Amino acid sequence: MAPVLKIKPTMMPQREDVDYVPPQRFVVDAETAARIEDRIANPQKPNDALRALFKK
Amino acid sequence: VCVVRRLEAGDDLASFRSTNRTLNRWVQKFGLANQNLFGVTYVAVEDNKVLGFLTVASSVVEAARVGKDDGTTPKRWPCLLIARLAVAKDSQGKGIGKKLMRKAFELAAQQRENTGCNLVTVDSKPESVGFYKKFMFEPMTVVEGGTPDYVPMFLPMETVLAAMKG
Repeated sequence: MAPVLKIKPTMMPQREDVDYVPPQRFVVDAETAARIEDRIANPQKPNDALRALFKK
Repeated sequence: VCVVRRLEAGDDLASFRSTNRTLNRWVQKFGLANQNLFGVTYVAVEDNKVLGFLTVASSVVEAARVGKDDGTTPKRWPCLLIARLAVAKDSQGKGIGKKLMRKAFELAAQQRENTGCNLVTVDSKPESVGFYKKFMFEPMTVVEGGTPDYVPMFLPMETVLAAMKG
């Protein structure tokens, strides 16, 4: 009978939500892509909350 | 005075408690280990106490190819991703989240200057969508990439830069 090789795990895998790796790429649908293009070509004016972040 | 700076080895994260245990565990266990690898973590610190943290990473938004592959490159927008953001429970309502958001936008402006950046994106937990909508982020419909159960959102740099100019 061949010897049984027992491998002891040295590190358990981490839960996915804890060992988080940021998404390097988002592939978006056509509607979102068109909206992004439109927002870049026709920028919206910043609202009060956004402008307030940079007030001295 | 609360300052926002890079996470350092001596920072006490063991006592950091936001309302989200996953984010607490992540920054305590992986924040420093991932520094400059998957992203960069910044901390809001006052009197050596960590009041909040922000993790940013470079990322890209890409338009899905429609129809067969005709050899053209789909449209792509390089972006700065707000990957993680949390404020300590006992520091909420004191403007720490706003300071961290300001830092994220400043980093995006630097990225735009140095290597190009079209958008600021966020990989938001569902309960935080309202916070980002307040700063004009819009949801994206993602067909590939992203994190399950999270809400990906974007904000164009043109709007951020206009806000910075006042």
